[in-house]
Amino acid sequence: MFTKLNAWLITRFPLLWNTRVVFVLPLVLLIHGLFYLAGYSQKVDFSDLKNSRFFNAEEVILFSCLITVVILLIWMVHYLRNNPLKAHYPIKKAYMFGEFMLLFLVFFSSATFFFTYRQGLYDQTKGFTDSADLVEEANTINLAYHFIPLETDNFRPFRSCDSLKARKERGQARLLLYNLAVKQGKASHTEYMENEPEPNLDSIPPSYLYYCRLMIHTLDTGTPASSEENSRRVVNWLKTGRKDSVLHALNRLKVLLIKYDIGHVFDPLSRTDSVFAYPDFYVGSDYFSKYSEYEEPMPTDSKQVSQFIENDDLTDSISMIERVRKGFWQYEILLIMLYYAMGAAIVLYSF
Amino acid sequence: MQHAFSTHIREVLTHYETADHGLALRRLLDCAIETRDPVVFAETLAFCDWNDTLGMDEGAFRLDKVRPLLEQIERVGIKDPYQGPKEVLAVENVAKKYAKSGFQISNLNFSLELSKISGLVGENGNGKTTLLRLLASELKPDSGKISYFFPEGMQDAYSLKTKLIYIEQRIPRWYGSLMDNLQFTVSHYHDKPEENRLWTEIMIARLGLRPYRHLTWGRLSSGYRTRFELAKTLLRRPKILLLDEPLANLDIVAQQTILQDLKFMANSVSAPFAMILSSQHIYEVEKVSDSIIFIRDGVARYDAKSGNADQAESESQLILELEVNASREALKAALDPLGLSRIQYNGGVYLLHFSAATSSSEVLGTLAKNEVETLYFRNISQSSRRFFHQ
Repeated sequence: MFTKLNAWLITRFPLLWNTRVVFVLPLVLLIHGLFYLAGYSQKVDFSDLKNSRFFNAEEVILFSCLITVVILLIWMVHYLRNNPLKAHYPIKKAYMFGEFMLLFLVFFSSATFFFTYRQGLYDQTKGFTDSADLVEEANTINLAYHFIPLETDNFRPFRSCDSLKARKERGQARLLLYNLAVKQGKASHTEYMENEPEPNLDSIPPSYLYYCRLMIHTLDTGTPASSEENSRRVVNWLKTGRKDSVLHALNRLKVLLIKYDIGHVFDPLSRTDSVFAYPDFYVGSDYFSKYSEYEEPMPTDSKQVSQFIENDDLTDSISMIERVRKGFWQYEILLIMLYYAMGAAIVLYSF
Repeated sequence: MQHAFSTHIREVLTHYETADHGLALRRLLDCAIETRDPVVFAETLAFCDWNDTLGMDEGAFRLDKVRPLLEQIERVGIKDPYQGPKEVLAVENVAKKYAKSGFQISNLNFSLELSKISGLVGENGNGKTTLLRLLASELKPDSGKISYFFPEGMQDAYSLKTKLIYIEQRIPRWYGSLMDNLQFTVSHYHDKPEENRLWTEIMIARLGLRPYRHLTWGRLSSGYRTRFELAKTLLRRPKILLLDEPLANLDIVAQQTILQDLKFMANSVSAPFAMILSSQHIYEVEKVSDSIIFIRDGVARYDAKSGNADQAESESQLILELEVNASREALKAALDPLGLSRIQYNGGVYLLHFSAATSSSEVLGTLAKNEVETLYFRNISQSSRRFFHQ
C-alpha cells in the first residue's frame, strides 16, 4: 500500500511526494489527537484550578517540544533529499508557493502539540465547571470576608462605605491645607507631615460594621452584589443580632474552601462567636492570616485559634473558571507560533 | 525524415540478425523513444521483460518476437521531429582570469550545433573545467560573449539552466531509490502522469539500469551512478549537455558503450542536443566527437574536424606513436629512409614525425622488414593526442 501510494504521489503530485506532507501531516494529526486525549483524560476537579500552572504544565511543554524536534528532524532528512529548484527543473510559481505553504503548515502544526493538550484539558475542565454559579460564589466570598479580619485597617471607620464620600472630602481638604502651608512658606513638607493632626476616625477601634471591600470585584459572566449592598446587609445582620445569618455565610464560604481545596484552618462557629464577642462588633485580637506557610495552626482547643485562608488561591480558582469559559486561546502566543512557523519555513525554503 | 527512421529500424533488425543483441536492443530503444508513444513504450518494455528472461542464452532469441515490435514502431513513426535552428551555442573571444592564481583562459572561439559533440581535452589544470563552468553560467567571463540559442527562448538564468545541463566530475549524492528519483524528475517534464512510469522505465532500459532500478546510491557502483545521472539528464530533454570527465568511473567497455549511446541520443530526430565532453580518454572521445577543443595553459586549439587553422598543420605530416623493443638508434636507422624528420621518446613510447608523403603502412612494413618487434602503434596525425607532445 505504501509503495502504491508513493508511486501514485510521485507521478501525480510530485510536490506532495517531495515534501512528504502526506506522511508527516497525518502523523502530526495523530499526535495532536493523542495530546488532546491526554489533556481530556486528565482527572481534574475544582481543587486543581487554584494552581496557576494547571494549564501550563512544564513537563508537557517539554515533552511536546521533544516530539516536535524529533518529527522535524526526521521530516527534514527526507524533505531535503530532492530540491527541484536547485536541480533547475522547470517549476511554476504556484509550485513554489505551494511548497512554502506546506513547509509553513508542517512547522506550525508540529509546534502546537501543547496547545492541543491544553485544549483537551480545557474542554475537560469546562465540562465540570459549567455547573458553577460564579456570581453566587463571588457573593458568598464577598459577604463572608466581612467577618474575616485579614487586615484590621480594612475594618476602620474611614474604610466604611458610608464614609467614602467623607473620606474623599477630607482628603481634598488636607491637600488644600498642605498646599497653602507649604506654598506660603509656613512649614516645610516634613514639618507639616510631622505636625499633621491624626484624623479622629483613625482612633476608633476597627469594627465589623465598617468593612466595605470586595474580594471579587468583577466577573465576565455576571455582576456580583456591590460593596454597599453587602455592607448594608452585614450591618443589618449585626445590628439585629442575626448570628445565624453570619454563621450561614461563613459556612457557605467553608463549603467553597473545601470545593476548591483551598488551604485553610477556619472554623465558622468560632469565627461567628468572635464577631459577636466584643461591644460594637470590634475586631478582636485573634490572628487571621492569608498564608499558611508563616504560621503553624495552633491547637484547636486554644482560646485564640490562629486561623488562615489562602484566599488568593480562592480568587484564582474563580478567575480560572472564567478563563476556561472564555476559551483559552491566547492570541499573542498563537501569533508567536505563526511567526515562528513562517520564519522556519523561510529559512528551510531558502536552504 | 521517415525514410531515415525506416533505415534506422532496418539497422536494428540487421543487428539482431547478426546477433549483436546488446547494440540492437539499445538502438531499438532509441527508435521507441523517438516515437514518444506510450503504447510503443509499453510494448517495448514488455519485449525487454521477455528479453531479460533469456539471460545469457542468446541462442534462445527469436526474431519473430522483435519483428512485430519494429513494424509497430515504424508504423507509429517519429512524433514531432525537431525542426528549429541548429546552432545552440556561440562563444566569441571569451577570456577568464583567476585573480589569486593568475591562471587564465583566453581567446575562446567556437560554436556548437544540435546533434554535434565537442570533445574537450587537455592535461589536468589547464582550464577544461573552467571552460565548462563558463559555458554553464557558473562563472562569468571577463571579456567576450557566450550566446545561447534556444527555440523556446530564454527568459532568465534559471530558464537557461533548465535546458543547459552541466554534470560535474563528482556526481552529487542522491537519496531514495533510483526509480523514485527518475520518476520525480519526469514529473517535472511530462504533463501526463500516466506516462511517467513508461518514460522512466524506457530510459532505465536504455541506459542498462533495469536490474538496478530499485537500488539506492549506496548499493550502486560509481559507473552505474554515472549512468543514472545520464538517465536523469536525458529525461530532462537538454538542449546542451556539458559533461566533465564522465568516463572517469567507467571501465573501458562501459566507456565505449556510454559514449556511443550519447552519440546516438544526441542525434535524436525528435530531441537532439549538443554536447561538450571533457575527458582524459582522448581516443575514446575522438571516436564520437565532431570536433575537439584542446586546451593547454588556458589557450584553446581546435582539431581538424572543426575546420579551424590547425587542420593544415596536421595534414602536413605523419605523426606516429610507437612502442618497440629496439634502441633509439636502431629505430632511427630503420626509419630514416622514410623521411623521419623528428623522433621523441618519453620513456614509454616514441613519437615519430614524417612528411605527409609517408604512409603508416610503409612505416609498419619497414619495421617488419628490419625485424623490429612492435608492441604498440598508433597514427595520431589526425588526433589531438599530438598536441600533448608539443
